[in-house]
Amino acid sequence: MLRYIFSIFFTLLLLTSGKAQHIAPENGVHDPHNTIYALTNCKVVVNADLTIPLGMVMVQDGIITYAGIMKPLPKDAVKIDLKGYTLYPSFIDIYSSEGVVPPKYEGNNRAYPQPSLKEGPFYWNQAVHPETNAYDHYKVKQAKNRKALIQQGFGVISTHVEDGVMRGTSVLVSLSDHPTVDNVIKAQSANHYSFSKGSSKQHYPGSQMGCIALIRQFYYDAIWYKSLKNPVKENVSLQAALNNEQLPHFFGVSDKLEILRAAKIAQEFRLDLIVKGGGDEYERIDEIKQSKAKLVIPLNFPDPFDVTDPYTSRFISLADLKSWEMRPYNPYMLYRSGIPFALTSKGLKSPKTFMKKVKVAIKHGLPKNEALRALTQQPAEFLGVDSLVGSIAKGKLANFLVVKGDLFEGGEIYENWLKGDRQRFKDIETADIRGKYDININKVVYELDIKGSIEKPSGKLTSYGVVKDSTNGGQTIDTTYLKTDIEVSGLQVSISFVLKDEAYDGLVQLNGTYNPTLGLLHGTGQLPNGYWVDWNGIRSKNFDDKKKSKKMVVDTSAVENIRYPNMAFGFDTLPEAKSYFIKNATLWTNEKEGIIKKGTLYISDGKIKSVNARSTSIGGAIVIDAEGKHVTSGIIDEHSHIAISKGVNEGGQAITAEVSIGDVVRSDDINIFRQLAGGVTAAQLLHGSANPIGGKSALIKLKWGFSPEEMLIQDAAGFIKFALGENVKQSRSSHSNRYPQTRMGVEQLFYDAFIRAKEYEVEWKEYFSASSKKRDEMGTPRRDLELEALLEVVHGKRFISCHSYVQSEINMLMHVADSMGFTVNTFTHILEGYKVADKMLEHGAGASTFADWWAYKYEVNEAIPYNAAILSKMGVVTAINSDDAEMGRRLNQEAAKAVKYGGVSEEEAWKMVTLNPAKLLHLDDRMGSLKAGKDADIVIWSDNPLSIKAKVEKTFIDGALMYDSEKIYYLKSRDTKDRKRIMQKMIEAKKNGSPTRKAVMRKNPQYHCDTEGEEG
Amino acid sequence: MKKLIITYIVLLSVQLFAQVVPAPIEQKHQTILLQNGKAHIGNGDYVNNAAVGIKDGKILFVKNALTYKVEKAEWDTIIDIKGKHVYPGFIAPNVTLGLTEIDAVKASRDFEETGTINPNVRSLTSFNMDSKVMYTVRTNGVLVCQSTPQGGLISGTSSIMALDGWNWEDAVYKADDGVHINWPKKYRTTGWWAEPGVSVANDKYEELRQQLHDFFAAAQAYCKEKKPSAVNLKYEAMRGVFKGQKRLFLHAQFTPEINDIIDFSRKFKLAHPVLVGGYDAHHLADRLKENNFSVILRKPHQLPLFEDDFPNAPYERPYKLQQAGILFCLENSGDMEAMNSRNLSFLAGTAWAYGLTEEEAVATITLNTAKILGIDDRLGSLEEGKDATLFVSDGNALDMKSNQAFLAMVKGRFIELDNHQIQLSKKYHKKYGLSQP
Repeated sequence: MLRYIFSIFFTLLLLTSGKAQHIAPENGVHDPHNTIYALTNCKVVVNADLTIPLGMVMVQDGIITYAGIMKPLPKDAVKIDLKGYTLYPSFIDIYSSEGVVPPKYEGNNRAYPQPSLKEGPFYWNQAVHPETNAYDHYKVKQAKNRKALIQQGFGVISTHVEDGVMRGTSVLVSLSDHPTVDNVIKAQSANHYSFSKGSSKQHYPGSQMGCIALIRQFYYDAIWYKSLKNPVKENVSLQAALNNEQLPHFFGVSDKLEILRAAKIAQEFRLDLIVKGGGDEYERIDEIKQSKAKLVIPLNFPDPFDVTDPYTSRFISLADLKSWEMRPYNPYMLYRSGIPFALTSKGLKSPKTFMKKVKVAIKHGLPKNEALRALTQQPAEFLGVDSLVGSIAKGKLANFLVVKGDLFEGGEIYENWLKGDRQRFKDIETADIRGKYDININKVVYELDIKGSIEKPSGKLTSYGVVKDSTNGGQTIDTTYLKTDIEVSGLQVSISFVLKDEAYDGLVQLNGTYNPTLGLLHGTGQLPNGYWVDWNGIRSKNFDDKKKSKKMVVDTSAVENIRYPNMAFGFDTLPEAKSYFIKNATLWTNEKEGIIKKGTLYISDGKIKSVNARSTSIGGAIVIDAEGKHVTSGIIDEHSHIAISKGVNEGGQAITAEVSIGDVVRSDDINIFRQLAGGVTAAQLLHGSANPIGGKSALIKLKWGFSPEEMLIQDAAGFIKFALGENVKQSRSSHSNRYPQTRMGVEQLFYDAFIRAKEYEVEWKEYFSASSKKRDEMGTPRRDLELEALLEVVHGKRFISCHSYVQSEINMLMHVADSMGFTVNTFTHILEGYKVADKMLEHGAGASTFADWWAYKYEVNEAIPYNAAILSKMGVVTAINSDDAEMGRRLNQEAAKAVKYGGVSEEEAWKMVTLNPAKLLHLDDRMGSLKAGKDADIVIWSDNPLSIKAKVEKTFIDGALMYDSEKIYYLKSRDTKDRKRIMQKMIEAKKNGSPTRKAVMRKNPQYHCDTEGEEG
Repeated sequence: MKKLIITYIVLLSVQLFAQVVPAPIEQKHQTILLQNGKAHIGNGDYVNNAAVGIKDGKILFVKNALTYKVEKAEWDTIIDIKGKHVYPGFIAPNVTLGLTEIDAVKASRDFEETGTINPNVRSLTSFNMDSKVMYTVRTNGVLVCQSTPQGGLISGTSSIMALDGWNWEDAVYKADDGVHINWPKKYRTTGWWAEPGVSVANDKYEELRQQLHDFFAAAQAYCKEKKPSAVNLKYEAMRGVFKGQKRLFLHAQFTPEINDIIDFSRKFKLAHPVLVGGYDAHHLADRLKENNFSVILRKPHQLPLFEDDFPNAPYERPYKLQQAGILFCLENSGDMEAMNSRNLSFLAGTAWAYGLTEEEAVATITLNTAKILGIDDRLGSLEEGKDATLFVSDGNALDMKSNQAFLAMVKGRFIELDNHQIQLSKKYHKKYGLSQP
């Protein structure tokens, strides 16, 4: 019997599953809210691909119980006749921070070791808090934009704590007026990440590469934590990340390159990746597609600039002008490329403009159904909640919009149903009284034309007066037009106006009832003299909505205007390697052939095929007569900080070997192009010198227009930045207590780092050599990205480029290296290298120095411009570098200073910016000289390249013409025309009433070694 | 012959007995002939084989050496500079040389006073004659500078200094030559210097511009009274400006500010307004000329200030100004400007590579500069009656690889072409047994 009762109970439970269960006690009698609503006679847009022209939807208890063609209604259904209306699924914003206020932590931790202010069993870094759950912090009262979002058509948002690098989980919540306990659809909908530290006051991470390294190290920590048999210290953050691993992983980033960076992390840890982009995805659309990232994109289309003044307009870069023009096409271009994407209201100043922006996107090519998909199904699928939301179908939440007209073109949202919570913005029962009427007021007839919107119609009254002419006694009819005040509520209509004619002089106020079937107004009114009279109005003509007939014009004309990169001097199409035969040139070979006069050079397939060969078959090569010109291999800058995103220093810790400049190469830095114009073809992008052990370098070719991945030199040796002296001991900061504060401390830090790295190696070796049983007992050691990089140094797999000035510290590091069994590859800056040239030679270190810099700080007091000459004469491989975007494009002039100061031969001086840096970077097997088989990185100069008169005429990389001093005039005039064209569009937009913004000037960061990656 | 030997000894003494800190040389002979040099006059002229006569510290003549007959008795010293180049001493305007020694050491920085209106602070009395930096600058041919304060709205008063002397009183060429206005910028940067945001319109601009107008109006009124009852040093410092004795240097780069500067100059009827910086000066060249402006152009060795500009735009600016026919010279302000002022002649070299003729380029660091600073009666060219402040280089001094000091003199007095860097080089060449360069 008992079993029988239970089985009935469970059967009932199954039948009612999906319906709201009442757990909390009620105050009063049970009120089940189970009325059935039937919305009939309407068009139902089920989803982006299916529309029922005449259908109906039934809703009970917040759930759709039927959606389909018309059918007989249950007797107890409340019928809502929606003739002329369309139902659309309501929108989902899956990148929101609405209603969530990040928790704040009290205290001051500016002094090292800077403990996290969040006390408890959490990760050491305060910017990493995957254990945070937005459901703990979501408060309806704080959701200031909730009503606006509802009005814009949103039904559901996934909202998160928008603070930190790992931000915890978001909560998927309905925007309805129900209590939050009923509104939460999914308490944990996704994990959230960003590349922004947020409110944490810890210095680390102080750069984007630091954020990337931090996320990676965290994941390795979590993997290690998972393997622990008996953790003696429970860590809630690591555990939370493991628990939530299966949820989608959501990165909030600000531009197209950051999408690629997020994708790289996701790939490493096999995370299901969704990225909230910056709205400029169209600039790197192919790479983004390849990354397989799913996108959520903002509609933050900027206002046009005010370009009235020609001089202030100059402050605006072409990149910013193009950005204004192109951003509205972004959704269309993503759609065209087949990249799955959703839309978000994030990034708008106010969500109130959201639908307006969606329509702008549609006007720029995004098909309407794709807009709907990006607002409903797509976000639902991204979060794996498409069985609950995202379309109008049986069993799903009753989240839909009641729209008059076309939602995406001229239509209006009348109602937004949120889990059955019916939010009305406009009354569907308000009569549409618009049209032309003959109004009869106590036998005087006027014509009334009612226009405007249904809820707020406006009227124009025509009255005819007879004017008598006193001179000839004739009569004319005088027509006057009056504005009238009209109010409509349901079927009740009020109209008032002030007359001045033969019949009436003064205020007339009318009230009447509208008969929709007959198109008739009838009621009573008060005349100017206070008498009440009957009046009526008979519709003579129906309202003609001209606005509707005006078709939206879709314009995709500008989508092909993408350059590589999309800014001044960008390529129309990327250059490709071609065959070139250069003749009659003075060739600076950097080989035993020395300087060849009247030589020939043949390049093809990106390589140098022959140098001054007696006979070469050159096929269809392009012949360049270089009579009077000089041809060299491209300049290589051993020490550059251009083309880096968001921080050249990760100065938050004394050792940051885990970070990598390679993670943050910025391909749209104009300085790449400027270096090409100075004959530079390759560079080492170095981490700064804020700490003794900085980050890994990126070795790049200056392939303007290509993606960061394509710029990185394939299979290049690994490098890492070390630094000594004033910068690393933070001598210019009066308050820092970060260790080290002295050169003494710097030495100890190095010893300690390498000793720890070796111990780490032993730990892993022991683990790998143990039996599997023993391994189980030991547990897998924790992977340490920092120590692994240092181990690479110890094993000669990663090379050091060490920022250094005074002889004591240079000497010191060589001692450290000797005792640890490795060689310092390069001392960079090395302004006192001349004092220890013999020791450097013995150790095997190379030098990369400034030609003549000194006096900018105390430790360069004994820097001398003869440094390069002395080092070179001593046999040390010596290069001259820039550390400066400006000087980087005049390295040929800097090399000439080695001739002036110390009498180095011209040939040797030239090697200091070509072959020698290639050697220091272990690239001399493929770069640095004119030799068959090497990369065709070639520069044609107007003159002896060391001469002050020398100008770069052409720069080739891998056989492709990257810079041409003649073609640059074409690029410039093309850019000028583009500027004028876009500015004309801006002026037109301004004329059409668009708000404008003042000119702004884009700035490139100019990084030097000591540019701290820390604000303030 | 005897005299040639004397010369040799004089020069040699420089080599052998140099101190780490060079001292001014006492010198008996007063008539010196430099024979057979390639003379770059500074005014655009060039004499391929020149005889340069010097007497009592002044240039007596520059003649064609082929036709000039040397009377040996007339000369204390005759120096053969065959194949070498002789230039007027290069003049570095708008530089903190002598006011700073080590950029990062605050204690060594003396070029920026606190406050915004500081016309009365003057570089003259802070000019450090024992600057190690200075000795590395003059070995490249820069023999005169306009030592200039920076910062605020009105930065202070500069002075023209020779780079040789026992103290600033010895070295001064022209005391308190001009007042420098750091014109406010219509655009201000946002973000922070390592990660700049966009530059946006500076909403303080009008206020600052008005502040300058107000100060000038008040100072002008004050200066009408010869003996004011209450002395105001700031206003007193402006007296020379209103009398036309001091120049007014207005620092700005872009057209919107330059237009306002021209209006300002017209309003206060400035006699010798000078625009310093002038990245956009070529856009307004006619208006600048009409209003009697000259331009001290910021160094060509800088990045273009607009992203959309040609990469070589700064290199080509001198040529554009030359074409526009406006009087201009080159300056070197910016990061590490004191140290870097030894590269002044290479700025002119780049201007030469990008359009100027060689002698036009020389003028941008010699006579043009002297004219703009109001010292062309004594400096700027190798012309009769001017000071014998000149420089002889083994090769072309505008080119890095051939700029090599042979001799230099200030007011007819040889200067030691030595500095601590040369000494350190020698020390270590010797240590390693390398042949000295």
